[in-house]
Amino acid sequence: MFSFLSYMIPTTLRMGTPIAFTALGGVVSERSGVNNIGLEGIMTAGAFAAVLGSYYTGSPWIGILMAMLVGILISAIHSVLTITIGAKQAVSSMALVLLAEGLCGVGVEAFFGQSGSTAQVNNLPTSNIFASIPLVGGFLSHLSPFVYIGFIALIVVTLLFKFTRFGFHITAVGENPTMAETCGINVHRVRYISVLASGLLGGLGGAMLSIGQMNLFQEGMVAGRGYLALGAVTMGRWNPVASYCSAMIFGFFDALQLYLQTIPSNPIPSDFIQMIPYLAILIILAVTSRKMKYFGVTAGGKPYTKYASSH
Amino acid sequence: MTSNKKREILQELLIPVIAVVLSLLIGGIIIALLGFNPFDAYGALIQGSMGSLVSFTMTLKTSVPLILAGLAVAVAFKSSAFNIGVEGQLMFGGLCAGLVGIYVPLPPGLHLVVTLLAGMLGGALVAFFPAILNTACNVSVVISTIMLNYVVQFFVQFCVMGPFHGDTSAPATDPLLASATLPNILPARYQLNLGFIIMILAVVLVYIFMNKTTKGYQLTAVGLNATASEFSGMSVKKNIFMALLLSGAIAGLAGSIEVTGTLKRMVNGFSTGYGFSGIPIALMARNNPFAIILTGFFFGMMRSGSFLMQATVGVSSDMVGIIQGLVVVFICLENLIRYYMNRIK
Amino acid sequence: MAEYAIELKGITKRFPGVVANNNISFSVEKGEIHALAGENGAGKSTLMNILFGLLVPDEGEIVINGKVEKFSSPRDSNAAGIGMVHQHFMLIPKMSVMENVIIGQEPGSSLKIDRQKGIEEVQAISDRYELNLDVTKRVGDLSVPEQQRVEILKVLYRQADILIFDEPTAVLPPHLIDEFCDILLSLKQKGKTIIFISHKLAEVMKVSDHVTVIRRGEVIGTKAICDTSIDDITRMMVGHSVDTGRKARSDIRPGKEVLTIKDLHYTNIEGNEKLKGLDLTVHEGEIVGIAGVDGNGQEEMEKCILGLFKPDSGEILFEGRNVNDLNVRQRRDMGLGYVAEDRQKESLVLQYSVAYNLVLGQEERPEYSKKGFWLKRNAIQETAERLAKDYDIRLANVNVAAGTLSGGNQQKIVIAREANADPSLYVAIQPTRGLDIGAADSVQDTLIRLRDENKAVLLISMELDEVLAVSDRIAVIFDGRIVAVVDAATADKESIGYLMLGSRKGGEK
Repeated sequence: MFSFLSYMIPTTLRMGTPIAFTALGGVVSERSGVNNIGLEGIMTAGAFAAVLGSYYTGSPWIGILMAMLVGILISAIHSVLTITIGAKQAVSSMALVLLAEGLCGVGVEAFFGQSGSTAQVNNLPTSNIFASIPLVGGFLSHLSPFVYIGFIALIVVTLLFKFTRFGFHITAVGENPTMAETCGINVHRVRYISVLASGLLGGLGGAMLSIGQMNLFQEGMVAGRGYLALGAVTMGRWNPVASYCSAMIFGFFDALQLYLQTIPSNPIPSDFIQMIPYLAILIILAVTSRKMKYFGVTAGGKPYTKYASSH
Repeated sequence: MTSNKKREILQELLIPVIAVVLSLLIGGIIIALLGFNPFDAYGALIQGSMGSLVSFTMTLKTSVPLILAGLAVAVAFKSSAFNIGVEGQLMFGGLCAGLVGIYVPLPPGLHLVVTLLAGMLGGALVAFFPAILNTACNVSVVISTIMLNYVVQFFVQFCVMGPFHGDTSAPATDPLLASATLPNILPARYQLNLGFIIMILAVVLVYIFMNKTTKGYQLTAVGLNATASEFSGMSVKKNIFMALLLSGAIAGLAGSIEVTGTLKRMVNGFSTGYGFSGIPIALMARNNPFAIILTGFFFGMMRSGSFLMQATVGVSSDMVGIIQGLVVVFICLENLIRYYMNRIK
Repeated sequence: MAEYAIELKGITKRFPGVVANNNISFSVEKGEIHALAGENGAGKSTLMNILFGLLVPDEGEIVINGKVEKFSSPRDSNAAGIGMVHQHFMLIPKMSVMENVIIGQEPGSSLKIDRQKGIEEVQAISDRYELNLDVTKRVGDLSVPEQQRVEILKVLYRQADILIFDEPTAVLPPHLIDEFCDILLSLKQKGKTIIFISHKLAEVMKVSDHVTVIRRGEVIGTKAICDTSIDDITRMMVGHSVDTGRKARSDIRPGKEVLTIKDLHYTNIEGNEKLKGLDLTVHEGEIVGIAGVDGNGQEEMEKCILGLFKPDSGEILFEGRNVNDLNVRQRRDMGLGYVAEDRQKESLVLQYSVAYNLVLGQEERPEYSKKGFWLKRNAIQETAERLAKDYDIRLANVNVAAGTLSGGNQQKIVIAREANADPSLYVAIQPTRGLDIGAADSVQDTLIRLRDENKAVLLISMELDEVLAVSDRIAVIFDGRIVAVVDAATADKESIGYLMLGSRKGGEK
């Protein structure tokens, strides 16, 4: 049992944190009323950008910065298309996914001269700063710094919604943009910033996949985690902490699947185990969607035109 | 026809063209940034896809699953449902067709028909889940179709690598029985098989269904104005349900044609994003079945020409993916393009 | 001379095809309650949205406390001290009262909203104005009257001195209206200026100091309440015209009952009972007009008849047969023609051709399809051309998209389609709204013709003149019930006006 736990806990954190980053981004964006299914593409681009940054500077930290920057850039396209132009959010999101995957595929070949995956780069090493803490020190020193950054992101997003004026405005804009406008809030500005922030977090999530869990970028390595993150947002009912925990549940399934694959006598084919997170999402959605009207973001998914110009 | 009306039609035709031109332009800039000559690259793209009769028929063959995928996306779009699960439906259709083609010996002719029908049924089955989840539980079609892509992907992998793995080192099944494969319609070196004709047939049938039948009339009405359709006595959910099943069946057909015509066995991961390419193909064609033949052919050209482009110029064939994404971006900018076109006039 | 809080000078606002406000001028004294009365569609809401900065007038001047102001957004009007209590509340149910109130003007710093201070401040305002609210409660858990007080709180928090109330009593049950009037009076006592939009004249008489009546976008007059009476205001609202302009019709005797509604009850999702035992009968060969102020249950009744809403209890009989379990298509196939209120949203597929729109909902009938599956495009085309000619739908050809036609021609498509289906019951909701006189006339003629052909016609309109001109009998709807049925030929416009407003001639309840 102890060996199971000592495997599962760090692995869950390792597998769950990338999804959690992106889910936190999803919370910010969706609470403001903009759905961003394109987070999958943002993660892909982030993962690649992180490798690129690390490759050229030798510093994984620069890689992380690159990933955040690229995440913001890609989500900027989404914000222009959906907020300013009023395009269908799902269609615009698919543009991000297709674009990001294409760009990364081309990028892999252009920068590394090979196809499918990049060269190995410096990844973010686990740190020893907590190693001296008794009992848990050894355990903590095995965790990627990304896990800690994930905690920080969780705290920041939680505080954002709990205390700050801007977080309050995000919720107001997502719930009732007309009311927010009559109360003097610039709806489009709030939505822009929220979508860009979701890009930043999605980029971080992608970076952890490439230079946190591994030391290279592979095409298709995101494998739907961006969509899982959105599932985590729904499951967490747009609450940062609950969404983070939901992401960890998916991380748990991922870890479980890895664990089961290490057991030689495991009777269940790994393909079926790998399906678990995706099936879980479908079941959760089936159960929760009927009540979505009550829990969901009221004005989510709808473009907003200023009152005066719409009448 | 008034000149006003003519101008309107011209404008509607021009928008996708402008979207493509702009996408190719930005694609060209990216190619240049990568240090290649964009003219050489596009030249190779055209040379590789249209340079000879062989490459032209190759392009036609490549276009078949793309056109069908576009058709599948379009049918769902018509009812306002965004089916991103075409990729999974296509894969599963291919698997079903493959298995029937291998394990269900039937007389020639009949075997092929049953095999293709099995593929369509398989595709429809995969689409059934998001459809029922939408109707009964109000689950967003976008998320459920995409999640099923992954479920299907693993399931197909399990089947092909596990119980049905063939006597080969490749990730594939045994070859299909000859009676379940699509015969060539041109001399062998041109590689074009009956799938091409079936695709044309499917396009015509979808066109007829959409434009000549009450069901197509209703499906389109629901997509255009759900409220008015409801007031006139149609059921919005039932129509979306039907559109998704039909969409899945077409996707399944695309997969089965790939398996029975091109591969002649089921290969794990044989679809290299056909289903996703279907999205820009349908959007560009504004869901018009005949226009989808054109836009599908355009993407087929890029796919089949990209190999030569990669081999001779060195630009990654993934460039096609970028252009695909750019096309969707510019289609989203449609209203903006229209606005500027009106200002120019 | 009195000091004015608001002076409106020559305000004109045009929308495509209509002049919503035509040269409106009146003044509101500081510290008074000024009522704005008028029928639905008279232009009150447009005027108030202009005053609130949501709409910009085409002409005219707004003077607030002696200063000329130009409002381009609610922020500007807020700054000038104007606040509005909207009829459809602008609140976020998931948030607390305090949060709803402070949005946009949160106390504390941008990094930390001072919620404690917010609670104290907002609670203090609530207490000072005796609004009786617990500001920590979730708005979604409050009753409608309480939510209205949250709206008032929002305005007061923003330190507005001029408060606009848009039909505030429309959402209140009768027994709470007195309480609301007390709130208004207490606000006035504390020095606020109030504009109060209403067509419930009893309240207007009770609380206001002055009343301005608007009809068809124009000011009819402003009177001091002490110099006027309910009779007087009603006359100003509905106009003096003795001639109701009744449409000529053949002399036929109404036949059997086609539509019978018995004791219909309906409660909406928010839990408000909108139909409270509605009874109605429409016979062959007659037009029954429903007269009433918007929001008294018309919409719910219409949708119950069509089959989009399921009533809680009661029966809808169609030619004697209970249709409660039938869906929309089945009811239409039984002979229900239905001209919905919003032609663009509810009746037409604008991108479809005129021909296609002319068979919408009938596409599976044998006239237009083989076996209900293959469209008979030629038959559709021929029918469309015939209808376009018969109903004078002006178009290049029937294959142009319906969206390219003018509003009047679009409405003719709907009228023609529903009449062509050979209905035994023809329901028309606001069929002439937004149409010019010519188009409106032809729509009304169609209704008369159908009646003369021995059909049953149910006309629901907010315009009393139209109901009077077209109907054979008039049923007055108020608060979810039919409160009176009168013979249209001998009906007296004024007394119907009273019934619509929930009172009787002479002013008693």
